[in-house]
Amino acid sequence: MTDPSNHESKDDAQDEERALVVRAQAGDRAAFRALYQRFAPSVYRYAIVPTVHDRTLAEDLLADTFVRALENLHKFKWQGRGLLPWLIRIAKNLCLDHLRKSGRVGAWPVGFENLLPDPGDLGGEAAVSRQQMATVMRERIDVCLEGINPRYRKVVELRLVQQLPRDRAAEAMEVSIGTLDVLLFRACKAFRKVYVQRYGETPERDFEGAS
Amino acid sequence: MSGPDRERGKADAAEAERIAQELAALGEEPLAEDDEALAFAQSLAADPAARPDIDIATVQTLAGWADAVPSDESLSELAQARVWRTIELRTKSAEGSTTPARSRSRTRPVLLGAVVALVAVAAGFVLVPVLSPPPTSQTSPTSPVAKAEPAVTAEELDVLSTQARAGLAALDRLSGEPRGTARVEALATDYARRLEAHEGTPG
Repeated sequence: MTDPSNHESKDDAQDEERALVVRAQAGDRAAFRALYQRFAPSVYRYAIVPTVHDRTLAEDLLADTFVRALENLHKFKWQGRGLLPWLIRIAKNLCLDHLRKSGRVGAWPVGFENLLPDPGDLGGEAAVSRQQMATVMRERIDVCLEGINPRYRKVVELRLVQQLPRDRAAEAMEVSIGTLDVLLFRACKAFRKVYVQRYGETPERDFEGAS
Repeated sequence: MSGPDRERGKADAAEAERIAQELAALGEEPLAEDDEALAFAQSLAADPAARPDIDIATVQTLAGWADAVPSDESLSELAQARVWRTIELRTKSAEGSTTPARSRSRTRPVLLGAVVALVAVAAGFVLVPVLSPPPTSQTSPTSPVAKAEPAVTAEELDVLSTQARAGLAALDRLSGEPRGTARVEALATDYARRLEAHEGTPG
């Protein structure tokens, strides 16, 4: 049985959040700071750190997220889900943009951001867990590795999953380092082909005025 | 081709030959002419820190996303305050590039008005006594008026000029636009020049 007081406190919190958003949209800096204090830890923990794996970079991207949010806050429309899902979408897209610009991720696994469900859809930020994303990605990697030849699977496992140095991976594969590099190159092209066939390339973005 | 380049070319060819043999032994497809995989292997051989192929980097990133959850990935209060300061700096500097422009455009007429008024007052101090008809032409040399209103001296003119310029400089600092008052200052200089021409050398 649900406690009615919980509903009330949740409603109160939503009313308070909405009032802060309205004030921030009107240019009230203190209200925007209150929103930052409320949501920065969640955005950092659930959207940024799991994506970039680097605390310093994560702080920069958190700042980028709130600067972008401030610039676009006038476009935000209250739809009963609160501000957090909107902030997380901004953060995810900024993280991906950063990874692409720095050459750490190509254009083809675009649908990855959909692996992080919006907390508003799932009734709370607890649903957006790092573990969920890791699990889903692990499954995808396994599926793709199953779809490529065993030698390629092994070289990807050794070099990119276990992260063995080249000489040790070459030793394990019983080839020279040069041949290992050629195999890894071919393996990743094959991996990409399976990933795209399986999960598609979805270049569209769902991003409410915060691109 | 220079000596070292020739040596390097030979080494690359030998390495390519070895790779081709190993690939054949594994039953892999043979290397093509200008094979990208071979070029990648050779770039790594020359510089192990070379930027990786984008697809390799992508698979590596995906594998990172599949990693176990770090034990602590929360935002500390200190980090949160640090990030907020960054946000404030960035948003204020962004505002700084627009707001002052707006405020400048609003205050410019006021400042220029103030400058013109200041110059007019300064010029009034100078012009009224200097351009007034000489006392001898309208009153007797013994007239009390003539004694009470002597012509401005060179020293007084210097003082007034210095004060007017100091006022202009102060307004420059306020407006942050030295060029905004340049024309007014030129006018003031022109006044002084005309005064000199009218009265002889004032200073």
